[in-house]
Amino acid sequence: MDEQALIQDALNGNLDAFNGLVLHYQDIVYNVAYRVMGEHGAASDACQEAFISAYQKLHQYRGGSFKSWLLRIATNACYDELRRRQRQPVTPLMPELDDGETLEDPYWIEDDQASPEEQTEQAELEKAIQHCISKLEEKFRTILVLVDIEGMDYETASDIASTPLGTVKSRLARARSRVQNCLQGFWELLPEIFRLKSEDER
Amino acid sequence: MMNERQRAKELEQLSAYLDGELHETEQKQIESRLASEPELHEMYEGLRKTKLLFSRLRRVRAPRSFALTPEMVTVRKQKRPFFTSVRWATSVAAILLVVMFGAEFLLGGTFAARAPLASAPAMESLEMQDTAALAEEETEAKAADPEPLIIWGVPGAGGGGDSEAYGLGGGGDIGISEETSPVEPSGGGGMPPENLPTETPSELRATDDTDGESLILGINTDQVDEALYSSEQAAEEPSIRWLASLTPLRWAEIGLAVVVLTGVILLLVKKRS
Repeated sequence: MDEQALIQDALNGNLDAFNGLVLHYQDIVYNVAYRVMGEHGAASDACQEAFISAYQKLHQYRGGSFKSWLLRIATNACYDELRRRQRQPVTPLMPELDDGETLEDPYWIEDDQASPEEQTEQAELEKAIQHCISKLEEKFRTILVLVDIEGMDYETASDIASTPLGTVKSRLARARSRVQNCLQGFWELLPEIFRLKSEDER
Repeated sequence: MMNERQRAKELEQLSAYLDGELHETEQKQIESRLASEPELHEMYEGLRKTKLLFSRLRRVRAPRSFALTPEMVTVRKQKRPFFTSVRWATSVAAILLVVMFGAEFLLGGTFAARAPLASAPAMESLEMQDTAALAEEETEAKAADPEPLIIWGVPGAGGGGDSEAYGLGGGGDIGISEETSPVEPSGGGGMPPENLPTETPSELRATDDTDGESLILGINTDQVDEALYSSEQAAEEPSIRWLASLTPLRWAEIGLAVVVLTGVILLLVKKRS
């Protein structure tokens, strides 16, 4: 994919060229949105909003990493969507179990190779981790998602979050520490190697 | 307190060390401390395991295509400009308002001095209107009063003698109608002409220096009409006084305040919807 050529064409009004960029980046944008929002419906709305906004603001793109620029728009769209949902709570369009609980793993994140038991354990663990991430403040959450989930370096995270490098460093440390404390509440779900203390020590 | 701050600093350094984001010297310092301080090592292990745990999270794929359609883009193009313009107009108006108030406050002398100067003629005309209103009241009172409008010289000096009018009340040729004056225009029994107070022609002119046709107690009827009109107008519209006292600067400030207020209300309504 010739990213710069697509950007140039999109700037000239070619929507198909922009959609080429959308298809290339939609998975990473969606993943970040989902981890920040903690809910698929909200992530989907924020993601769509981010791409529309990116198209509208494409003339403001001044070179550099397009991925970072796009993710900055996406994280802002997430904050906007979170605020909008706080004002007007919506019912998530998620598959529900018989007992009324929302199933966290719809078909697009299922792992076909895992056994049903493993899938359940994995789903429970992910639910616990996502729960602890969602309990963080927005500014801590975004940094954690960018560095620990997306694997970005501090500088890129600082660029995307429009935050100084030192702030990224301190927010990340505090976010990790808080998630660590939160996960101790789900001790029985954690695989042995991730437990801070062995069962005997507890 | 110190311990908490120190712990936060250590946590930050350990976290950065975990990501390989420390400088070489800092990295070596931490490594030597980790080897000798079990507590610090435990803290580090906690962070490392937590970070490792995130790798257990599966990547979530986009559930559908987020490709844009022409409708999505065109709808947005129609929606945006209005509120963008409102936001801009409100911001600019607010800044101008602050600048104007600031300038007025800082250069108070200059700006404050201008307002009274500018409104001085208006105040003058208001005073004139008041005087005219008083004159009007007096005129009305006189018209209703059966007493004579003009007192002819000293009491008992009416009549003006037999042949010539020496006093004010004499021959009636200064235009006072007989109906308005109960004093006999002619008739005997008056004071002899030699006893009447004498007036020089110049003194007569002094009382009669308007055109003689409309003289009522020295007030020109044209002036009375004008004053009457002004006072009626002022009585009909009391807000005129306040409006007349406003300077262009005040008008500009009021206009800007209205723009800011309207903009803020529109943006709040938009935000709530």
